[in-house]
Amino acid sequence: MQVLTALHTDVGIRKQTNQDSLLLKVAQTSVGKVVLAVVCDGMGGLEKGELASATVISAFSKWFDNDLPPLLQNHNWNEIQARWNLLLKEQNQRIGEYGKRLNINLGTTFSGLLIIDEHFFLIGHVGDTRVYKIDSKLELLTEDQTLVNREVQRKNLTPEQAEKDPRRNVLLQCLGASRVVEPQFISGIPTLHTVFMLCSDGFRHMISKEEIYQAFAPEKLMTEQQMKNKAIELVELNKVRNETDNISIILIKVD
Amino acid sequence: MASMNRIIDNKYEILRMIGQGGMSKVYLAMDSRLNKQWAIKEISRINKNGFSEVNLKAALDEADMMKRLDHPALPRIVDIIQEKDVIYVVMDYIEGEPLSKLLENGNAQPQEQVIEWAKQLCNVLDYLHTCNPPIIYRDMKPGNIMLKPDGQLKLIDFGIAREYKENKVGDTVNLGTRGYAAPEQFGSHGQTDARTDIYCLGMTLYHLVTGRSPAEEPYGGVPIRELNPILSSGLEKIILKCTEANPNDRYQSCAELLYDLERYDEVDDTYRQNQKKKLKRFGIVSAAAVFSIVFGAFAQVMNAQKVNNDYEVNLDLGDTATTQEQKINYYEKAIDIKPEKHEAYYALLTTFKDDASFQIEEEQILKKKINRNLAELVETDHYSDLAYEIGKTYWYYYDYGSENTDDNQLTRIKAAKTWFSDVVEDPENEHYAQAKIYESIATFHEEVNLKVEEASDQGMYKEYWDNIEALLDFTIENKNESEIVKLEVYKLITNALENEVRKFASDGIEKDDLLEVFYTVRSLVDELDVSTDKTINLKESITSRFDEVVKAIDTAFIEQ
Repeated sequence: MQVLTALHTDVGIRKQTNQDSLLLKVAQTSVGKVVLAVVCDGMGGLEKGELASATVISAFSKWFDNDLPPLLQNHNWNEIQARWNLLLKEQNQRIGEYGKRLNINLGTTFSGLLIIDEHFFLIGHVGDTRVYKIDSKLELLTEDQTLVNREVQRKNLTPEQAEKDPRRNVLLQCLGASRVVEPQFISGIPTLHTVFMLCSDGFRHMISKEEIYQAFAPEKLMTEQQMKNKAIELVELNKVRNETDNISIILIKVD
Repeated sequence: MASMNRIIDNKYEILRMIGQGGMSKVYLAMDSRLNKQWAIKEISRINKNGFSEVNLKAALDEADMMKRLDHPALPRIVDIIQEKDVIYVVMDYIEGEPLSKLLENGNAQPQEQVIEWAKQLCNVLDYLHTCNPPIIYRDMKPGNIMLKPDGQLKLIDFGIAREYKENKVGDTVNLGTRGYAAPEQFGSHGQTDARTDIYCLGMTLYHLVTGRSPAEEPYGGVPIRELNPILSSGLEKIILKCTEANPNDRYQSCAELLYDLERYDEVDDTYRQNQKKKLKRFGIVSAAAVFSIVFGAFAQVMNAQKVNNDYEVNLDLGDTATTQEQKINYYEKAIDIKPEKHEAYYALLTTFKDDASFQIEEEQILKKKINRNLAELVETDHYSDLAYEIGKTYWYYYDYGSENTDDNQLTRIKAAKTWFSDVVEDPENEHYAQAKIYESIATFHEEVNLKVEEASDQGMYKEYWDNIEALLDFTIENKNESEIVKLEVYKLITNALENEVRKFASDGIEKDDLLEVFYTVRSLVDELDVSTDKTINLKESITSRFDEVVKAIDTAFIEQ
């Protein structure tokens, strides 16, 4: 399997700090190419949001280096979800206790994608960062764990109203501030000629689905440089349109 | 920052920190002159992250305004001390614990208690809202309500430099910190007013009475009785109205809310139903009064006319007639007038059973009336009840064939079957289960001889036995059953035990089971007081078989 990747993050036009944290790891292993990509959008005011998102990124980085290789050796794909679940709950606990000790509220979202060559992929998800799949169309794989999404499902809001609702930034679930985290998991077998996109919510409020698809359709991304350029282009477009949040994106193309 | 043991303004000695927010800290302090404890809120322009975010002038204005408030559920502000870059607000130190502490681990609070608290909170909010200018609390939540040892509540963390104000629009937040907030408190354009406090109070009540934080599944969005059905529907309605997304749909003032809280049980569905019932009863009585007047006039007109064609009249005449023939005669007439009505059939059946036997001539009458109208009857409501009654009449009382042999039980059972089959068509019928058993027993008797000849009868007996046991069970349950019915059931069982015991054994029924049922039947027969010749004979004939039954059971299992 061939893998092309790119990532870009920007503090945005308003904020003093970038609380988004990203992780992108690619390894050549005995079972083929393995890719881990994670986007975390931290919150909690000032530098604390960064701390929360970076803590989770660092935990997953360590997991990739230390705990994943034996699982790969034994082809234990199906065990990975349980490990992630445990890892996320542990992070929720740790960040939550830290916040309690300092009497502050901090936390982070989490959207992670693991691809094990053509054998397996796993998505884990908490909060409102997102994972999209782009092949012949743009498809949102994760479900926002937000108040407005909940209201849309309860038919109290239309999706259009939800976009404009002042509560659109209110999360139902996040690592560090939820009593019980219930991550969403999706797994399967990756299809080739596909682009996976992970992004923070700052990336998607101001640009349309069509614009995303036009920029990142698989046939348009032939080199990593092209991918990086397109990513920067859309992040800049967001800023021009007055997005105030931090903006982050990871692109992974598998062929 | 005030450090421990520091003395502020020469009289307040800082003892310890008792609370901390992003922009402020609260200390317990000792007033050295009065020898009294106070809480001191420290609002610093330089917060702990080194960013200047608090407008000290605004905080000072607010403290000045609050100083004038006087309500038992609000802490008094007794002093305001201004230093460079910091303000100290000295207020009542409130002993007790916040309601959030009581809610830890999801402990729901008793409904009556929550209502009482709700009234207190409503009262203090009303006080604030009717100040001039009105004061909106905006941060009602269990963590901000102190329960004092005397059971009274006090609101704490009052409005100065409240943190969420500093929340920037568009920042991602977790619901955990905002679960009680009203929709209009999010974003920059929201106008908050008294109805905002009502929303937050509603969410607080939701949490108190269900034990579920609105920041947890199902996020405060469901009626409280979906979480706990025993809660009052009146309180449910109150909370739903408080937490409407649109402020216009909520209570518009605390006075309105307080009115409903004081009558929450009257808002209850049960209360309303009772009221409705009362109204209905009143309606019936009034209607009856009007009817009497009208009917009185009507009756005068009708008096001269012959009324013996009337269905009801024939029924009444039948009820009061003294001989069987007369009764039957009137009921037949009634049936002819209104063949779709059931009463006359029931009356006819009762008359037939009066002498404890449903004779062949009687059956002819019934058949004549029923068969002619059956197509119509089947379509009527509760037809299955009538079918059940007819079925039982055949099963227990039918006389056909009794002159030739001692026992016509099988004839009766088979004749009854078709009626029970009709009942089984209607699963709503209250006798559905019994009808099914009767039908199964009848089916067994219809098929068993043939199956024996085919030698394919194995397995039938187990089912038959189960049905017999069930029949016995509901006969025991129904204490009002007539002597005949009881005795017939006992006879059926005794016969089955005597004649089919080997088959039962070979179908795997345990000896103990058979004996247990037999002993039950035997004691039931012994206990039963019989009053007519027929039942006396019946009882005797059953009792006379007991020894044979015991022998039959013993031999059946010895052979095995």
